Amino acid sequence: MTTGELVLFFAVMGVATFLTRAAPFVLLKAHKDSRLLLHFGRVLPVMILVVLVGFSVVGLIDELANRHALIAIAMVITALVHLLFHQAMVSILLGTAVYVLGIQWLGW
Amino acid sequence: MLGYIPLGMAFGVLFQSLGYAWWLAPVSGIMIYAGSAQFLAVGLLASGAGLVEAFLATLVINVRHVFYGLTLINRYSVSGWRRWYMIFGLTDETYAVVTHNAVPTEQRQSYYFSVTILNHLAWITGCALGAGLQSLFSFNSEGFEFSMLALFLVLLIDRLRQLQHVPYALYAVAVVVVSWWVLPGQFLLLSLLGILMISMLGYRKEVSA
Repeated sequence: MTTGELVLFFAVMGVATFLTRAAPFVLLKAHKDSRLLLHFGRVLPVMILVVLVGFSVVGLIDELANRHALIAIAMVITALVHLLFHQAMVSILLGTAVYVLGIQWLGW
Repeated sequence: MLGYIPLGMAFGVLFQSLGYAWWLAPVSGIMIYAGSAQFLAVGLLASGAGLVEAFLATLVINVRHVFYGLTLINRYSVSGWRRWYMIFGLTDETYAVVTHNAVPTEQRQSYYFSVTILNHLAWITGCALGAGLQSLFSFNSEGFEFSMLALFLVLLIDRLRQLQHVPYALYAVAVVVVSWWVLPGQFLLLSLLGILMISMLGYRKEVSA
């Protein structure tokens, strides 16, 4: 992909993001209390996050190598640290550090 | 707000693994300005996704912002370009700040505007720092791609602290597993479609109940 194509790629994602942010202010004012929208607002975010976690796991597994165990360990550590300390940045950095060290030092 | 610097740096380092010029990382921060979508962009670019897939995936992933906006329609009362910029910059982080801090009514609009622009600047700075440092020192960043998974996992756990979300999370796990099993090549779109269907079914059940 050339630099121009990449910028176009960003622009497409930028427009899509903006549409989601602007939609309520422009289109949905009248439906502020719609039951269907409230229902979506309640159940979709958690399901989207599950899909994103799945997408990320699949991306890591695809990258050759037998890293299933390392992925699982780093995920469990991230989750445990987050359940205990509630500090998103700390959990992300620690989990990533475990994964990076597993690959770079232990040659996983 | 400070969380945006390390997170932006993680994105910048990850972005460098694609092999583009470092300054394109902050450019994506300026243009897209959505953490999850930008991390996803790296995954999409790495897997050679097209523009249509990128557009649809971004729409669905950022659909949560629709619900942020719904609760802010009355709060964002300023008009003109400031309003559009505030809407453009309505990220998870900005939403969290503007809905949690009590500000006197007369100062609200300028406060919301400042939060939006400072968060944006912090994010762009983080993206530039991560990608710039990585291109300068080209340290071994193998394994850094885990940061995307860690980000989504942490956000998911925060959601699951409210236990009523657990059943829908389990449905979504089933959707993910089936999608991967049926069509691994179109895994993302298929799962997003699947959860949309499940939430519609859930609504019909709720209405008829």
